[in-house]
Amino acid sequence: MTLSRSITRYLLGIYELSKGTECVRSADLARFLGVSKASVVKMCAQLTQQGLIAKEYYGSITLTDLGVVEANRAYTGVVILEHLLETQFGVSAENARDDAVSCLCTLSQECADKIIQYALKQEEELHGST
Amino acid sequence: MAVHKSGEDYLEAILMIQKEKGSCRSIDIVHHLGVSKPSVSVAMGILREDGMITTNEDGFMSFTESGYKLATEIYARHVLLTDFLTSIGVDPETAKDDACKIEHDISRETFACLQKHIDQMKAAGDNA
Repeated sequence: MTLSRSITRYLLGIYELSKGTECVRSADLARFLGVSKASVVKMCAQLTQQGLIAKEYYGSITLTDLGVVEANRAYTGVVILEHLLETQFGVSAENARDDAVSCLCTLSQECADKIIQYALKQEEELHGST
Repeated sequence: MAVHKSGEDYLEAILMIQKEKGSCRSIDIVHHLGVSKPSVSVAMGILREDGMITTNEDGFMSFTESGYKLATEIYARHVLLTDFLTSIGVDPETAKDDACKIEHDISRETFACLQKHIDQMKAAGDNA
């Protein structure tokens, strides 16, 4: 399943706030992503349509099983890239996370895949040589 | 002296056009960025107000000192990212497009670290 980049950003936000299982309030998500509540409402309609979240009309947002799987996959990419930025490039933890998310949610799929491959290769070399 | 993201795109475009053609006018930016004439005109107004560029009576643009400094910094980030992405096997055209998308979102620190990392890789390559 290929998700649009902005959908991925929302999915990651919900995943982080929900710690995997808990439900998330729209207002908290808006604050976390630094977007308006109206944008959250609009985007959540798309996420619901794609079967990634379940949302009650006035209620909170919960990831569906599919949502958890997709969020987990995206999150894995973020963690790999964050690790590369921190350990290999020496970026501070604070910027590494934000920049990893920016990269993976903005770059084309081809680019994102290549970067993750590169990160994994670097990691392998590092452990191979020690 | 905070220049907005899209302002950075315009500054970068002016520099690229000047490098390519030797001079830059509004119409060149319209073609280069694929935006409307009014958009360019508004953006140029803002850049002039911010003291980044000046325009002479024939419509040719020149950078101020601070404008040139910022434009070259943005362009350097663009080249650095494009080179890095190409070096890890991304198609050059995709790399260029993606560099444009991401260059304003990444922190200065990460750019500095990426630059250092690439220099080290080059040095290691030269020694090998």
